[in-house]
Amino acid sequence: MSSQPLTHGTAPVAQPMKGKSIWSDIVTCFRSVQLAIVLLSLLAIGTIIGVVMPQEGMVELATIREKYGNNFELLRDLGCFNVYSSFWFITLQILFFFNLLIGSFKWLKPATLAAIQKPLLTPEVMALKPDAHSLPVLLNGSQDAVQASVVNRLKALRYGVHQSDDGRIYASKGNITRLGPSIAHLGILICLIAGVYSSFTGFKAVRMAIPGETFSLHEANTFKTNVPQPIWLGSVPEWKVRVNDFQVEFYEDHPQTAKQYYSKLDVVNQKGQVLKSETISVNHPLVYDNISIYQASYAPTGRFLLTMDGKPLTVTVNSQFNQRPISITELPGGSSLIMFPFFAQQDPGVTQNYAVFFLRKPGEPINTGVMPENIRLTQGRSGSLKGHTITYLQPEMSTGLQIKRAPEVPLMYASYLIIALGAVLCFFSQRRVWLALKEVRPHQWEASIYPQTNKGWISFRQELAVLQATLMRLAPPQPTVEGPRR
Amino acid sequence: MMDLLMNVNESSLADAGLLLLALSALGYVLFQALLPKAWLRNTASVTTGLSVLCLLVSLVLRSMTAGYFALSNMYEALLVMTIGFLTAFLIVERWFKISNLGWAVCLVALIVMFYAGTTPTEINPLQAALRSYWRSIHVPPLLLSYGFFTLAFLSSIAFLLSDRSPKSGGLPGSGPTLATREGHGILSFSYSSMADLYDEVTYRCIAAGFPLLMIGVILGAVWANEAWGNYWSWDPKESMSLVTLLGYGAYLHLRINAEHSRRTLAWVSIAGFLLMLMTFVGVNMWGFGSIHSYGSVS
Ligand code: HEM
Repeated sequence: MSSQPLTHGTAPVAQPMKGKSIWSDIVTCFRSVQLAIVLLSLLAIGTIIGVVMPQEGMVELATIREKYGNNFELLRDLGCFNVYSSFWFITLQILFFFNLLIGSFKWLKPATLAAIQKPLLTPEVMALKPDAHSLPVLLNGSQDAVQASVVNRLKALRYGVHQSDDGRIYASKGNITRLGPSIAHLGILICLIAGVYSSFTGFKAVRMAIPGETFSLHEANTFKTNVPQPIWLGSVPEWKVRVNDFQVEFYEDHPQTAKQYYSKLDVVNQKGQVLKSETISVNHPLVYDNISIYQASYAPTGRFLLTMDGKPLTVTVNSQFNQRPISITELPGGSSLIMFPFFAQQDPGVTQNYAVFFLRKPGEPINTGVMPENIRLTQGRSGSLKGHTITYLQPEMSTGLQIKRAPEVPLMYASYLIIALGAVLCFFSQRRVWLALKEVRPHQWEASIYPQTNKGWISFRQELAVLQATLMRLAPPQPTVEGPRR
Repeated sequence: MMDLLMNVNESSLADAGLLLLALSALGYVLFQALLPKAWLRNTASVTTGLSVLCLLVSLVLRSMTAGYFALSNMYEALLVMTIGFLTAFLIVERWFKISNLGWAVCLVALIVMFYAGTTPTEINPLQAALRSYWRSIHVPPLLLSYGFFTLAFLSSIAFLLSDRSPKSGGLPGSGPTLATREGHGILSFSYSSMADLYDEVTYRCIAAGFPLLMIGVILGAVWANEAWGNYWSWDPKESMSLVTLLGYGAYLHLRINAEHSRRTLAWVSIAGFLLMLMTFVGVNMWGFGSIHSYGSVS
């Protein structure tokens, strides 16, 4: 330790150990920053592959197959279309985790010591050190007076000062920043652990629900866990969700853009008692029993809510006309109601949802060559057609609910905080100045400065220049002062 | 005069900002090439500062018109990034005395803003997924980090152009060789060459940009989790920001080992900048066959 202070103070390059075994080779490798750099680069390359190649969750597999033709099988087996859950990407992450973990054992201690120790330079070490970075300054006065004024200068520059009776001074600032990398790395370890914890206990389900429906989580459209069910350790609650209402709000001047959508939900127990009620919207989920229900999406169900002569009527898209989806509904009495829906969100030039209705009486010919009688109703309007009053209420929408249990959230957020804190600390440097006073003549002292920092040399030098100048002012230079020794 | 004041709006202010920026560029070019006088450099810094002010006020007016923090399309993102970049430069310029990079900084900012001018500038309503206060805290750290990385890129180039050291030169930090100048027995601590300075500026800018990018990405993850229940969905934009982080992370770790030449590090910084560009503009331009899939499914 004694010769440590003047080294750069960062991790030494991995040294092969004595009595080599494969095991120690592996440990050495896993402790090295070199491996970290290799892994960081490989993870980056892997991620880029995932960005550039179409990924299974985002693009239909059939489309990918068509695009890659004969190479498809090979590329798929290499995990190129599912990079982020491919065996090699996960292996890289595991290697990375162990690199970080095993590496920590090596640099945690020296970094912490550098942050908390206040080592005075021993005369032997000073004698050993080359003088390339020492700065002799001559000061006049009694030792106490000289030492006190030097200490004051250092304090004025906001250094914490530690001194001995024989004129050795250790001054440092930014000590806490030496913990920055350790804190950041610890945060990343916690983050990775939180991710694994979540994989074993969390789930994510999606349910498309129509207003009026009640469903339990067992009835979700998709129910996903990150690890296969047999080794999954989580549980699914028994309560149910009731969807009372669903509304989509569009911008008035931009009918294509949904401004917000709302689902009015109740959480009910098996007896039907309401446990919690809330209207959720995008960015505002419901949380119950550590499970969050998010407003994730919406989709037209292909059904339309109408009234006919005052009675509610639901019609379904069930046919096509010139490639447009249409609905043909048999009415009691043998007539049929034909509806051509148009959507502001899909049809060019349409600014408001509307539909065109036809009513065919029993026995009426289908194609007479002339346009049969019809009405065009915008959403929310009524009109009459062949003696019937029709109201076009709205297209029926199902609400897309994402239901998620994420027990790791507090841990994950804590890790984020720790990572951010550590990364910010890493920006700042630790500055250390060892200063020794040596009496060269009676009442004349030579102050040697040994500066050290882990980064930011240039601004440190500027500060040292200030320090030196103020010391000089204490003792104007004498013409006999030696120049820098090499 | 009154008339003129009445006519001040978001776009006229942005134009004024660009004009001032062009003047700064001219000032820095003159300073660099013909007239290395302090007053000229100071004037150029001041006009740069004024130009930042104009752009900033323009952004504020725009946000007031839109009714939300105006950071939702490419134009606005580039505007904020330029503000961040110039601010980063003004800070670092004083600190490291790198006014001789000024002309390049102003030029890059001008190019970015001209490009921004070619993208649609109208104010659009926000889709539901983006209507959240999270958006205004998630994006600024990211754009500020882009500002620092751009500066790091410029100083890496300046380093490569000014570096005269033998090919295998180590880091100045690794074996502290304080350059000392003699004169009346006074040793002045100063950097030994411009190359050292640029190398250091690169490192400090990356060291500043890295935590900012980290914080921006983390805030994005928290937002996504709070709002949609996903921290991370491997969306191309997210993935590329991770790649950028990994790239600059590699830079910082390469730097720990003193064996790597500073030239190598400068190239890594340039590569990091290209990754950043891919994240920032590339993903939006090419899309990589995927959508930023928030909101409606139809
Ligand atoms: C995503 C993962 C990682 C991040 C974000 C990260 C972040 C950082 C940061 C910000 C620094 C400070 C750099 C500086 O002072 O300029 C640092 C230093 C360091 N990192 Fe990492 N790191 C990561 C992974 C690793 C791994 C896997 C290792 C494995 C050995 C490692 C080893 C080190 C060492 C030895 C230092 C120097 C410590 C010191 O100066 O006290 N890092 N890291």
